[in-house]
Amino acid sequence: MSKTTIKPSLQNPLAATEEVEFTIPGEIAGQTGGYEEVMKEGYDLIQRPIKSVAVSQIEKQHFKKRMTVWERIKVLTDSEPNILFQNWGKNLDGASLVTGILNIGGRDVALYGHDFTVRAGSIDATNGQKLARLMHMAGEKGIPLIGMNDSAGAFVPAGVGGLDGYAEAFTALRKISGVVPTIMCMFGFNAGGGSYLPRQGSFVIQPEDTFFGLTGPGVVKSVLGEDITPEELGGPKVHSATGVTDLAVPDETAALRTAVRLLSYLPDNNHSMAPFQETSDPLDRRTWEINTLLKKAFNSPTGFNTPFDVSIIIQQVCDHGDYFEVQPTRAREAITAFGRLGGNVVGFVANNSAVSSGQIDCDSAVKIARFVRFCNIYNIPLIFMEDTTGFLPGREQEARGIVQAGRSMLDSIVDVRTPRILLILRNAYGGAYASYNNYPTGADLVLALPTTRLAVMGPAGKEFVYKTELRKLRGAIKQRVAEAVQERVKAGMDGDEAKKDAEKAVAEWLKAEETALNTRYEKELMNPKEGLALGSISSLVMPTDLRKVLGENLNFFLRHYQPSAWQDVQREFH
Amino acid sequence: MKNRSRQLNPMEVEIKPMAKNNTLYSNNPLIHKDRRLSRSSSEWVRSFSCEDLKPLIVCRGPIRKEAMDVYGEMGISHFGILLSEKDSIVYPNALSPELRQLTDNRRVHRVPDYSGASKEERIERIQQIIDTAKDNDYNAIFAGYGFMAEDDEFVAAIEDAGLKFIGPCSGTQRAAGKKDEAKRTALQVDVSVTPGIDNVTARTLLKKYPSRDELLALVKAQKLAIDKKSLDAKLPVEELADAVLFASYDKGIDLFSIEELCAQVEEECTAMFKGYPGARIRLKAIGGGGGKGQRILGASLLMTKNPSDRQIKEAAADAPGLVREILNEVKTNGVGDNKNVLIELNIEQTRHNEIQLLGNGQWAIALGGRDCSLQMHEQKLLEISVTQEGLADEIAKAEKTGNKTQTEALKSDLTVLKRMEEESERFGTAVGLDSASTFECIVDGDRHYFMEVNTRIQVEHRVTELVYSLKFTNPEDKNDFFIVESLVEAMALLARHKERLPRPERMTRFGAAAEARLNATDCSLSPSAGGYIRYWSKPIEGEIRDDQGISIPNPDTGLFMRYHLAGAYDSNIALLLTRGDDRAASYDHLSTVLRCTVLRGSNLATNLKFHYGLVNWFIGNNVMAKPTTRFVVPYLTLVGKLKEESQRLDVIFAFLAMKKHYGKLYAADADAAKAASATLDRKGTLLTRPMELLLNDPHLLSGWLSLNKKNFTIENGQVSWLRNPLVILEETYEYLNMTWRKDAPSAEIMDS
Repeated sequence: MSKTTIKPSLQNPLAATEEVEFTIPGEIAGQTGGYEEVMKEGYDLIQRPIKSVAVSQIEKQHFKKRMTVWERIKVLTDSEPNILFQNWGKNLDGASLVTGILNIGGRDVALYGHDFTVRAGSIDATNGQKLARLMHMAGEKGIPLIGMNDSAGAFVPAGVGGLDGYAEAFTALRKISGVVPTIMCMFGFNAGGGSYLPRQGSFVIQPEDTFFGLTGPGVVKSVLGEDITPEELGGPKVHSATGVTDLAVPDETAALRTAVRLLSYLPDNNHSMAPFQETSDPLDRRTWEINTLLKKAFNSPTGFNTPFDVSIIIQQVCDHGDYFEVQPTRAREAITAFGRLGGNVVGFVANNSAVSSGQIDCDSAVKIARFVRFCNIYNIPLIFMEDTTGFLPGREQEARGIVQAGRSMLDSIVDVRTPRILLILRNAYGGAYASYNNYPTGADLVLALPTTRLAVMGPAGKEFVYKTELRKLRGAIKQRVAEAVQERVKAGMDGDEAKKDAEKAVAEWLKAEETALNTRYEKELMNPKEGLALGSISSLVMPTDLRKVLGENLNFFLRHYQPSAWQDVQREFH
Repeated sequence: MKNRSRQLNPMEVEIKPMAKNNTLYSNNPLIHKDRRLSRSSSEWVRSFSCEDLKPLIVCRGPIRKEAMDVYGEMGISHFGILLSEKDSIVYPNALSPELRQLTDNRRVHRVPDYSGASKEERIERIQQIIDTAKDNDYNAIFAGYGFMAEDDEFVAAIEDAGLKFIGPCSGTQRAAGKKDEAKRTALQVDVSVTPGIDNVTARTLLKKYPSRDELLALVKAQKLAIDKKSLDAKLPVEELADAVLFASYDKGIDLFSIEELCAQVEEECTAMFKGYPGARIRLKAIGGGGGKGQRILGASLLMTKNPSDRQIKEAAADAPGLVREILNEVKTNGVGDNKNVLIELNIEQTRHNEIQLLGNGQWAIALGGRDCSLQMHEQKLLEISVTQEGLADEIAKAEKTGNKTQTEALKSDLTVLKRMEEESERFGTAVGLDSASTFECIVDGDRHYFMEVNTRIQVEHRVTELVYSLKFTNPEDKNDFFIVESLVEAMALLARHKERLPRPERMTRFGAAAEARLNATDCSLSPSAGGYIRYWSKPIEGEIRDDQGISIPNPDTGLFMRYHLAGAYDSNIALLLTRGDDRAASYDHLSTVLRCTVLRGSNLATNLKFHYGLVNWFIGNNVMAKPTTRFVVPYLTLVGKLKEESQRLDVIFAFLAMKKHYGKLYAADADAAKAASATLDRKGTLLTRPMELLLNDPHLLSGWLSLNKKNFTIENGQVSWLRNPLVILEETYEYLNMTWRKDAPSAEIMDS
């Protein structure tokens, strides 16, 4: 080291300072004066929200493996963002919140993002209003909204102003709910208002290493004395299990890309259709794979009780096998997914026998209800696929309120006004059938595969249907045993032994008779015939023709459907 | 008569160019081109058009999409694919991506699987495949590198059904595919096989009874029941000796003593030591297995170039003792036991080299070699081209720099390659090879031994395509020719025009090529199936990505379609290839390709970082190094050790210690100390981020250390940099793909 201490500096003494000149190209510059000064000041103001942030603040954000709001925008679109109110706030720095209009794949999308590098993205006395203005505009112009939430909460020095700010934003977001779809990305650590606000949106996407919730772990510790990590309290695992988070993703990049993908299935607003996308996948493509799948399943040793993954059927029906599952890790006994069929966006709601025989419980009922209501509001047609043995019974489900959850599902289905088709794959029993988009609840069309087993009850139904036969059989037991004993004693058997043997033989006879009744029940009643005869099913469709038949019928209904805002009596919900 | 205007056959569907996005994925000049010979101005060239070939593609893996692309480019409009259930219904999101390209449902056919689970099922399946082909108007079958491609019964059935098999005919399959027959043919046409003696017991017997008459007398005397056929006087006397021995085993008697056998083994070993100076010999009991009943002798001669007779005698003297040990170990030392012992040359440092062969039944041409030594559990990982031209260039370079060792090593490689190529052509002609095959050898120093011929196209065939193209010239006019750059195309040409095709010339294309197999394995190369790919960066210039079509976007929306790596067949995801003027350049570019590959998804594990570390390990050491087939396991062990070491380091702690150190240095000047502290804070992530990435991934660290070992020395535990550390930091950013890229999300740059 040299003898004299050199003061280290990051300034490059050799770097030329960049002067921006405000001249017209080719113009011979005249005398400069006050005008140039004003221009310079204006230019600096325009640059301010981006340039005024200290590099160390950006480094802090990067150190946490998070991007800055400007970097996040670049993942959403290559186009330049149209930023609004960029000098909002008394510091003229945009007030820790960026709002603007993005062009994503040729569509106008309203966007907000907290700028964590400026006062930790907090909501202060005025920026709640900035947020509310953006939301109002999105609603007015009918463009979707994407929110990139990364806020420490209300800015405490702002006092009550921050709370009012939140209230204003809550209200604005509620007012555009049902008018334009919204996608919320949860970045960083959001508590309180910072988590209520985004959950008012249509979809929440949450990456790993983030938290949101009522309060952070610190408050939990001081109020309840409970030690808990942010991950355990409000990480993506917790929230995607409850449905608070619709889509858990590995990181920020994945969250933003997922938002863009999801957006491709959503309409701009409640009075237009989701984007139609011409397809190179022929609508009459035969779905051989569905046939193979069902054949393999039903011809296996477990026969018609074999579970299978229904998402393969959705995949085969959709254009190029591409579909997008919502809440893909939660309550998978029901699958809710967006896909395209012949270029039109469709919402799929399918019972999945691969998980708990497709039995609907509180979680899947609410999952279905929310998805169906969303599609209904935004003019997205629905295809239901039914294969369930019913609602999941039992103490736990009752305690959790299955009646109310199931009612939500039923209500959401009854309310549907968009084109809606039911396809029965296999099991459609009792209450589950009755509440699952059948003709009486308003289906436009009910189709069924030949493997359909539409009945009031599953195999247990024989007790009711063949009541007389069973009573006769069971009533005959005593007599039969007596006769058999007599026979055996006559043949020279010992009394006790004869009785035992006779009872055994009669039990076997009874079992055989009951099995015969079972088979008869399955043959006579667990099939689509009654449904066809009564008009509960319009027609049967072969597994290989599913794409064609569903697609052509959907096209028919869509030809006669006008997208519009849902105008109806406001009914009680939830 | 009805006017029969030309009607478009409903099956003749115009080939739609893939969604007209001119990305390097769908339009890569290295692998895509217009191959329609029918468009040529030359009549002779036009006569080799294959547009009437109607192939059914019966395989999966990267070759399926490649065949679809090549056939389309050749103007073959009527081709179809046969899907297996694993392509479509076993797992969601694992639907064959090729279907995004081939949307005509009439050309997609289905079978439960390709080869059946049992022998009966296999025969049934063969018939089903033939029926599918016939019912749908195909006239040829291509089986890629699947199991069926080398099944001579399958091929024969196809031929019998009057269909063309795009691959070697059943005759070639039988003659070259069956190991014993292939070895016999190899010996006949002077191909080098592993030297050894498999009949030392017969030789022992012949020493006692050297003539046919004496043997027959023995048979009579011992009343041995001997098969009449063996008595044929035209057969070599060794066969009679063998027959006599087998009869003696049946009778339970010994015709020679163990001492006599040991003496014979010693004699044979002496001869072998003389014939292969410096090599060891492996003795194997006939009844051994699983490492039992084996001994190696000749350790003292190892690496001795010219052993003296005395040295050889001493080494061979170990044989009798070892033979006794072996017989004892496998318990064949009793009276009447078969005491045969195989005497084989021990192959020390084996490298796996193979020669690409092509033939039409009359001619066969070798297309250079591929070194596939880098493998683990018999699974190839990295395959690189070896050509005579390339080696000659490297020899010239080594001579120029005066690197004698390297020159010698390369010269020996060149000699071996020349020999292998000559032998492979002789062998190919002998078995009537009429398509593509691979002549596989093991190489031990300056010796090579033929192992087997794979009578099919191989996974790594593109390595050859990048270094040689084929020039087919009109025998009557040397200016009338066409060039073929694809082996899949060459196979189709051969299937369609066989005898008419003149022997091509091989033309050098690029100096060198390399292929890395991207597999769904974790960092220790254990299989890890089940993950989802949700994003794959676009290929870069000079990258070939054979990924079964995973990167074909949704043709309608242009969005990447997630793909479930269900592990239905094997762990291979894709083949990544590149080329260069020489091997160093091809390694450099492969490193760039691997570095720029961003693969994202959930639950996803690949061997990408392993490859990146390994390729850079070679770049840092010597790309002309000759790793053996036993390289990867010890390499991984060392990488594991590196991980152990690196996990003991805490980068943040080290950084803070450095900050403290500077605090002390500037203690006298509060102002400067403050400035130093602020400056260091700003430099924190600049330094710690790349270091943490390197220390967290031992594969990255392995490559980095190898690249940088020339840049530092360690003396007394202190590192001193031989170059400006700032430049090294910059290179490290480059190495970690952390330099600023306009289009990449900043999170991806920071955490690559």
